[in-house]
Amino acid sequence: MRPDTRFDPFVLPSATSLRFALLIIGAAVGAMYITFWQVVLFEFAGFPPIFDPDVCSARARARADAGAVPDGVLLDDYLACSAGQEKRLAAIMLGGAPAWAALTVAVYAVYPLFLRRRLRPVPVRDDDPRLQRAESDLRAVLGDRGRDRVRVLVTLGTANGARAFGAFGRYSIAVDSTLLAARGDSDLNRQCSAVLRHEAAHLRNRDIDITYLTIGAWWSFLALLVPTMTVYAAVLAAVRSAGEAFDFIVVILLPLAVAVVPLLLLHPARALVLRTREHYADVRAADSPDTASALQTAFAAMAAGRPRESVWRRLRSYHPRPQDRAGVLRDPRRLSRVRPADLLVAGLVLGVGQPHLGTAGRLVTEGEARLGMLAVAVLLGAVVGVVVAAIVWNAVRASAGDPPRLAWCAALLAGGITAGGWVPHPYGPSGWSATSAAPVATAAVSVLALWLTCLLFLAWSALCARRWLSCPVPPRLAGVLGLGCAGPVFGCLFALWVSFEGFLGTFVVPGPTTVAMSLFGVGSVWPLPLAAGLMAVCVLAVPSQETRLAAVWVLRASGGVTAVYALLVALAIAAADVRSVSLSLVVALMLLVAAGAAAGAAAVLGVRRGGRGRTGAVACAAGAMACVAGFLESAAFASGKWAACLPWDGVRPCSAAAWDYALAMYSSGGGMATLAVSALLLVCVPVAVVGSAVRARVDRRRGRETGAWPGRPRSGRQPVAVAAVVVAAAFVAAFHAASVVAPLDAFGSEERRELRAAVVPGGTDGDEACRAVLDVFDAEARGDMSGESRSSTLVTLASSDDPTLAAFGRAMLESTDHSPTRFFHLVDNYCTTPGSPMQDAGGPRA
Amino acid sequence: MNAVPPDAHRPRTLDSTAARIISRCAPEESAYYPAVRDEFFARGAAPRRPGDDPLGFGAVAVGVVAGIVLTVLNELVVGSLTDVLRPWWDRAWRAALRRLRPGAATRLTPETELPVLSAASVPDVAAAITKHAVRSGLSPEEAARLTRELVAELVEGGRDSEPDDGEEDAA
Repeated sequence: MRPDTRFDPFVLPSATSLRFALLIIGAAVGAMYITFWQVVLFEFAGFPPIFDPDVCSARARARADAGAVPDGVLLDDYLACSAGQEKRLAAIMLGGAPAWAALTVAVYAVYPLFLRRRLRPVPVRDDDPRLQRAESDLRAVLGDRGRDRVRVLVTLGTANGARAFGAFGRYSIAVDSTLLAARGDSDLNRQCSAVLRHEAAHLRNRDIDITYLTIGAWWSFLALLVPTMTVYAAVLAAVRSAGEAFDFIVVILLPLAVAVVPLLLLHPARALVLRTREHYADVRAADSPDTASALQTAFAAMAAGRPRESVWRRLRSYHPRPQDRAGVLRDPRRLSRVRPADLLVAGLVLGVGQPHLGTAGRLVTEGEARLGMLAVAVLLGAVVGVVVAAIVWNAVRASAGDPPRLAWCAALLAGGITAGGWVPHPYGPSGWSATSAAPVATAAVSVLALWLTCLLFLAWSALCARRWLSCPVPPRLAGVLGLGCAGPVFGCLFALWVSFEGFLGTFVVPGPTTVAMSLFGVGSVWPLPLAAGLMAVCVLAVPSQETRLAAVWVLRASGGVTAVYALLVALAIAAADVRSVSLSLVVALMLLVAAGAAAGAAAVLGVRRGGRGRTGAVACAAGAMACVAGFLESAAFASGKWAACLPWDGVRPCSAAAWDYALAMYSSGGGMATLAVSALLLVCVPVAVVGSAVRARVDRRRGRETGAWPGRPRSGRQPVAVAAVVVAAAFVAAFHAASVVAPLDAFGSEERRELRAAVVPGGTDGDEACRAVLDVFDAEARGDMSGESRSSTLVTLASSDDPTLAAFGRAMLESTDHSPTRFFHLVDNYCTTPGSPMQDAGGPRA
Repeated sequence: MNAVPPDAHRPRTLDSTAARIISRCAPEESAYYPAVRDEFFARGAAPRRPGDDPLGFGAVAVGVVAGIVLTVLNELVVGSLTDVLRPWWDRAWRAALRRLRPGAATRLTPETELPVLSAASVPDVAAAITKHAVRSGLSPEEAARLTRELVAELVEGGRDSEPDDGEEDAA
């Protein structure tokens, strides 16, 4: 990349916009937490609880005792009642954000009215000479159309020079009459002009809305927080007994202390947003050398007379130090540097937001964490991802292609996420943050995995920035495309980490096996193919010779691997006809050879086309090949069957059979496509990276530069490759999600029949049935995924002498409509409510 | 203490004194002084607030010295100039008393006569002027120079009206 001779910081999203976005998201999430604590307060005050699963259990018990309701209806009704309770709770969890948003908009709307009253502008005529003197400066920055949308108010020193304000598209600039006095040609006159241009620049930069929404956001947050915490403190003061006081201190004072932290963070964050837009206004106003010189003179005078300030005062100030303003004017690239606080806050916002919003998502999807919680992780991660990617893009652009220190940036981002995950939650889900309550080894693995995820994203973002900003596409368009892609990428990567952490946290004993099993679990979630596909597409879509050639390679390699696999399937089918050959051995060999062919293609790609500065592109190409080839697994299998069929039947019957097979596979979950994509990604991407590293080493030893990728790409191949990757990734992700929405029958009809036959009505104590449910969770925590504990527990439930539990067990043995995981969780809820067998037996939960 | 001497040759009004000081200390502001003066009195002789307003420029661009001079002379007449040297609670108490005092609503005009500064009050007044000036954004050197000029104008005898004569009386 060539360095810009005059750096324009307005090409990509500004630091103001990024910090504003983080502040708004942080305040919204904080508002949701506050509302949630208010609900807890209401419950302490004796109001009926919002979330009361006991109601559903009591209803189910009453209906079961009456004996008039079929088992399936009883279970469906209980599950639906629980789902309704959860959705109510989710609505409460999210309700704080709209309330806070409404308050924010109200402050934004009212503030300009209040300000105008305080400024006391004097009435002037449109042809007043004072207004005429401001015209040239305002039009120089705003243009004619922009100038017509702004009203100039003349004040008597109340504007402290000049000040812009307004709301909803109706903006004003208040200017002291001294600034509009008769002009001559002196430094002071040029400074007056510079001040007016600075104010006009605020309008041009759309700072007014950002500023007053930022102010509104803070005041609204304060308005929600202070009364809530005041009531908490009053309740604490009214408590009489020491025991109750201790409970209140732990349950209430802790959130009170935690609530002070966002308040302390939001205040300087607000000031930082406001300070940042002053820099951008200075740069915009300094378009002409005269104005730039006048501003520098003004800043020098301000710096000379400025007393020393404390750190806290500086953090709260709405204007940067004059020496900093002068520095940014000399070098606007300073605005685009990576600030550690930005990454830390981005991580904090994500870390605090995910437990709360993820829990709400899980509740909305009726306990299905792989859908609701992951969807929230993707969405929230996407928003934060755009901000983080924009920080990286700005830094890469300002440094002319040299990446910032990515490992350090990843540590800041991961540190923020980890710290945010430790914020206490009133209904804290136990599975979210393994780092806060897990063994040290588990926590260390989790944090390391998070850091690696962040590093991967930052490195990929830097690669995209370098490539997109070097290509012939206008930088603004490149930014829109690149950042639009980066958001979902980070969302998916973050969701993968959330999955990994969730799996890791379910195991009691940490170790290499649990890490491996957690990684295996990650390979089966829908964000994985989406992340891989988007990362590959965003790089392959760059309009440059190298990426066009890489796209052609993707098509060829995918086709080649698919053809090899189809051939192997045909050979395997032929070999299976020879009865002396073991089918499982044949299948294993077939898969091994296919994987080897894919790995070989990736290795050749890495060694021949990799090298210094190309590793990222090569890895993305290998990932794209894995997505496409994996998606085509069922088509390849069908082709192999067709080839094997030809010697025996005709072309037409074989084609029809192959077509039917392929259609059946793709319409019922994609066959082995999901597994194939995960396996190929695991094999091909690392192999390609290693190959590229080898190439780089060889080049360094031989002292040669990385040459251009040879070949002449044909036009039209690149869009085809990009479309192929997009389609493959989208379909494979849909296959993963479908398996969650419509889970496969865990037992099969034959096993169900056997289990029903093993039921002994009334043969098990209700208390024993409830303990058996706990054993299911214990088995899964030990890594036992065989399903034996689930099947035996269902028989125990159906054999229970408790009518409700027996009805639940029998219904589950008959029906395939419900997720076993959700079923056992809700039965566990039933067992812990008053009146249940376990509560009646007086036994504590294990 | 601050009575006008009965044998003064010429009236020392707030406006004329301020104009002379500005022409010596900040001649570039002379062209703007009438506008600054009119603004000052139009808003009731209230000083400008510190400039850290959202979407403002962050500092006063025009009439910094003029604003300080007018504020100082105004407070000298009102009798609150040296309050800046007192603790904040004392300042608040005195401000409240002034508001409640009968006749506290006296409005100053540019033609208001300035009192003569006695020798005994010069140190406190000088310290107060310097503090005002530094708080308003002048460097310590500029604040010291402004203080010398103001004190020289305000002591008994004062300066001549010609700007050149002020150089001979500089302390």
